[in-house]
Amino acid sequence: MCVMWENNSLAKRSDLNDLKKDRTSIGHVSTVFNDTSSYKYQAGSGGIRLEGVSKWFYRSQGEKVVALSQIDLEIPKGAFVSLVGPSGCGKSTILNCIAGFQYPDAGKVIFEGKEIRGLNVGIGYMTQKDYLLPWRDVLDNVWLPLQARGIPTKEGKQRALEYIKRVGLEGFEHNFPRELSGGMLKRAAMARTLVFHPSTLLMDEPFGNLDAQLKLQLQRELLRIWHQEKQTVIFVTHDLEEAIALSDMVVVLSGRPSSVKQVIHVDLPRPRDPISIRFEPEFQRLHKELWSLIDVTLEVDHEFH
Amino acid sequence: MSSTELQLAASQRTSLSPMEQASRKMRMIWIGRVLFLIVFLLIWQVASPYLDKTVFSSPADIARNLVESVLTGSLWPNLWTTLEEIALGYIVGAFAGIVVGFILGSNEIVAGILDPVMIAIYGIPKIALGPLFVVWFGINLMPKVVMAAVIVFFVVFYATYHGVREVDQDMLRTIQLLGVSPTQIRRWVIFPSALSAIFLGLKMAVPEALVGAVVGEMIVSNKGLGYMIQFAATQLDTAGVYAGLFVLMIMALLANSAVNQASGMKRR
Ligand SMILES: Nc1ncnc2c1ncn2[C@@H]1O[C@H](COP(=O)(O)OP(=O)(O)O)[C@@H](O)[C@H]1O
Ligand SMILES: [Mg+2]
Repeated sequence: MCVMWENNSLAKRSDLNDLKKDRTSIGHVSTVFNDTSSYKYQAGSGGIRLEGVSKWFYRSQGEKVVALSQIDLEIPKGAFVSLVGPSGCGKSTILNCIAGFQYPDAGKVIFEGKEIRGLNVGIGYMTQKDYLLPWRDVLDNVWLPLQARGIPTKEGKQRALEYIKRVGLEGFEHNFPRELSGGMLKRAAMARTLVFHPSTLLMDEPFGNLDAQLKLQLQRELLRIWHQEKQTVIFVTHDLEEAIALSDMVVVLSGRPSSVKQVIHVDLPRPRDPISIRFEPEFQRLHKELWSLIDVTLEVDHEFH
Repeated sequence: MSSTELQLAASQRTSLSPMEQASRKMRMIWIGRVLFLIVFLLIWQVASPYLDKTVFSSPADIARNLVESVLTGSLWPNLWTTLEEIALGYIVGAFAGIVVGFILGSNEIVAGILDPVMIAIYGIPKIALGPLFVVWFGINLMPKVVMAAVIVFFVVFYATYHGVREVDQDMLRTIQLLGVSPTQIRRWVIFPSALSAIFLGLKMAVPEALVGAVVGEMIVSNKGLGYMIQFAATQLDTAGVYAGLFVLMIMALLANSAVNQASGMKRR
């Protein structure tokens, strides 16, 4: 229960301003692809930095499991970064540390220049589980962050509907979570995460159990939104093609105790179309390179989530 | 063959829809209940001449006693008094239980401080508090209402407390990250999520209110069903005792079905 009473010093009520600013930008989704000048992230200014982050857990038998060992990672503001690595290597743990759900046992996480202590309220975290409220329908779930910010109901619901449309859940806004498939739940959670325009997005295997077509559609939508809003995105995935197609950087983690094995910079042109980009020779080369890195690490861990 | 296969086979043979089957089952259950009651009363009645009258009485005597108390009107003030105590005690106890359960459930430190107090009071057989209530509140309605309220309180309190404690912490922090404030979280997440546990507590507390009121009446009183039973016993009027118990049983059954009706309505 203590979670609720933690100080909210990190609460960034400035996202209210973001909302106001972005209110106008929703209308012209289609124009984003003409904008090729400003997609590049700016290195070294107010991103996320992990400094020697270690995290360990104790199994019920008292056995110590080192999940993260001395992770150093610099994520520039506005960058789209993917995390890949074997199951159980600590990808979710990294996101939890950035969200302030967990604290590193050693090292620290610097978020926009400040060390994270307590919940990092105001960032968008799409967790592996959807955590939709079962007693609210899709619309009211997506509306929740806007309701919390005191945005007028009509306007808030309008915006929620917009995002429900974007993730392809049109027609399901009055269904309750128990009436939706796994993939639909993920999409509803995605809409709820995006609807309040967080400047940082943590996404934990967001498209994990979607069919190929829907996955491509949502990748495209995510890139579109990212181009518009230029969030810093940390995207956990098992799908290497997805990682390359979306990211500026792919961080390859080794098996437990995991550390950063390699960071691959993806220098494919932006804006990208996540489908056609796959046929670029550079994409193929990166894909091969990633596989050669992953192959070895895959054998290390036999744990499945 | 498993039982579902059997049911399937049966339904194919008789070609009844599942709904018709369910209503047929319900009818059989009701017929069974009535038959059981009749057989039980018959055996009791037939055996009663051979049994000690002051211990077992007989259905006929009990019925006569009941009819008499209805006709002379002596039942109604007692029934009314007990109902009043139950209703007041239930409302006060349930309300306090929800409020205190919610506060302690969402505040670990306060809960930790008060935990021994709660356990100590909970552990006392409530009837032992009776004399104290009489000293505090006299011998009229009040001590019985308080007795019912205390018993109801604990049932509802523990249900609410555990309902609040069992809210998924991972869900809470995820929702909080969305910018939902602690106050909003209490209203929009914790309360609705504890609601089914609270309803269960409210349901379990209904018969407890009856217990509280009657126990209270048995300590000191000059009115109520508990008094009626007590008084009959002092007169060695066993039929009167059974008649009082019979009325209590009917009340318990009615209360239970009212609660079921209400929780069915909640589920829509
Ligand atoms: N709360 C916890 N208690 C104990 N062990 C944990 C806990 N959270 C994670 N772990 C362990 O830490 C390791 C990394 O977990 P996780 O970050 O979920 O991996 P990934 O997301 O890469 O699959 C796993 O071995 C997991 O069992
Ligand atoms: Mg994970």
